Amino acid sequence: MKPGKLLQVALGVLTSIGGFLDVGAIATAADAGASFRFSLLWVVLIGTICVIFLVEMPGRLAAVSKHSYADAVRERFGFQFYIWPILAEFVVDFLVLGAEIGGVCIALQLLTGIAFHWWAIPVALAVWLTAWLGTFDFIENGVALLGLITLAFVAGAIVLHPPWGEVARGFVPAPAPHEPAHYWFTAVSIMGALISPYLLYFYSSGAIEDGWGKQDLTMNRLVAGVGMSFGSLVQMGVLVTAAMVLAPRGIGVDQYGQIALTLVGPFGKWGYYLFAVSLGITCFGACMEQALETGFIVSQALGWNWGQSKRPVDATRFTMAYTLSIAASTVLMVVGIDPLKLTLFSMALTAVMLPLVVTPLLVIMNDKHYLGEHTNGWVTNAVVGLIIGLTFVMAVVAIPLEYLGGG
Amino acid sequence: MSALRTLGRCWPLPFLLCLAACGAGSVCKQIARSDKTVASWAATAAMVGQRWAAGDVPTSYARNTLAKGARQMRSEAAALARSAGGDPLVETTSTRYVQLAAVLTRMEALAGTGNKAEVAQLAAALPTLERLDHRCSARGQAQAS
Repeated sequence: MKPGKLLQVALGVLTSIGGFLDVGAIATAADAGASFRFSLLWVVLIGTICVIFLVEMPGRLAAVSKHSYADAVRERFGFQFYIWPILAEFVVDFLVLGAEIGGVCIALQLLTGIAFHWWAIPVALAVWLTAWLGTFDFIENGVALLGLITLAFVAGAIVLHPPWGEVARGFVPAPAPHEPAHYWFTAVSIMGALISPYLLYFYSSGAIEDGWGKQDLTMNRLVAGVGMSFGSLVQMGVLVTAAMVLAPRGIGVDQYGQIALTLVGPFGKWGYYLFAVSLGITCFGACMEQALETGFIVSQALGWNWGQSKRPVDATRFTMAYTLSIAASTVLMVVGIDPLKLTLFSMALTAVMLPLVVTPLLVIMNDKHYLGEHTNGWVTNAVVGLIIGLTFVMAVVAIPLEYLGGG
Repeated sequence: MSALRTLGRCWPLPFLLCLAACGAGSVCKQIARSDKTVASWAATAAMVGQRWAAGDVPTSYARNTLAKGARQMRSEAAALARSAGGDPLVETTSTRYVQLAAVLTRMEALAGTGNKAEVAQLAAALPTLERLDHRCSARGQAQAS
């Protein structure tokens, strides 16, 4: 591999690590650690394997066919079909973007002491301004590289000296040690946070923005495999620190302020600020991705000119789509909806709509018209088949579990 | 025949016993749910109080968290009283929640004045909740006797 390419891969891997966490990943992992110690690490592991496959495929699709995932679904299945997953995604995006804005607001509340809902409009303006002025590379690399601060969770987990034997046993699927409804609801929420449908749309649209071709297939594989694996280590770090700091004291996760204690445990005063900055940066990055993804899917559905690297004046309807999406989601925080409750509800809803988004992937990734000789092999097809089965089960149980164990 | 007649007159007894048992179980379940939330906030307050006194977390965070904890405890007490008011176990539990909430409110006020020593003392002595199963089994024993 040439040095330039190597640098590109390294950057891709680093941004995958820095951009892995978001408000959903932090909330669900902390809840899992606080309530069930290491018992749900296996869900993070399975979710990571799913994400590796689900990210690699749209990247390959974009590199080979020059189609984003949304584009290919519309073209292959027709607008009549495409409208349903997009509508579902639109609703989830609205809620998740609200939760991500809430995450930045909570971070600012932790840093300044000013109540979170006062920050909603300034945060929304900052997100919008960054989307307006920033290029795709700046958003993808700049914010995600800053997100490397989340490695503090991994450092915190190591500093706390967890019982490694018990941690290892957490990777083996096991029945609920207590409160089965809460256990399985948390498991579904972790999966909902990890297998975010927006990743499929955003990653493939980003690959088109970056002008990927067949020469980038190796990089795509490495970024998906290595980047996501290391990224999930950060989420495991959140879970382990919560298991070490919150669980022994009997502290549950009812609000984000309690999660801040996970880093105060190992790092004291610095831990508090590390948590606030980590939460703020990761949620800000996720806000950008979520808002742009709404712009991508709406524009690709309606055949509008789109592209973050284009000047707003050259893609006015795309710009209008993400502007309205930011404005609408901000209202959720202005009216004072609890960001943690909104996050957990959004994750459950994400699980419900996953089959709609993931199932077409199996058809498209086996279509030679799009992928030529780069269609899925049997191993990938088998894994995607299992993922689709899993998403159907999650879709059926998510809402009943939310009612029984969501708290 | 008379035995059958006596049995006939007593038929509501097992039904009523069942109903009482189910009622007690449901109250215990409600208390268990509330206890979990209140115990979590009491533990949060204890850790926040200690960490604030050690200078690890800012005053605004400590005050916000303690105030939120106190609100949650009062709201659990009110919810319990609404759902099963009149039950002695519920009343004792609600009173205990309100007392705990008062401790948190006192800690919040002391944090506002910068009194680290007293906040640390209250945090260390923050009363823990009695175990629910003890209370419910004690009630069962009392009913049996």
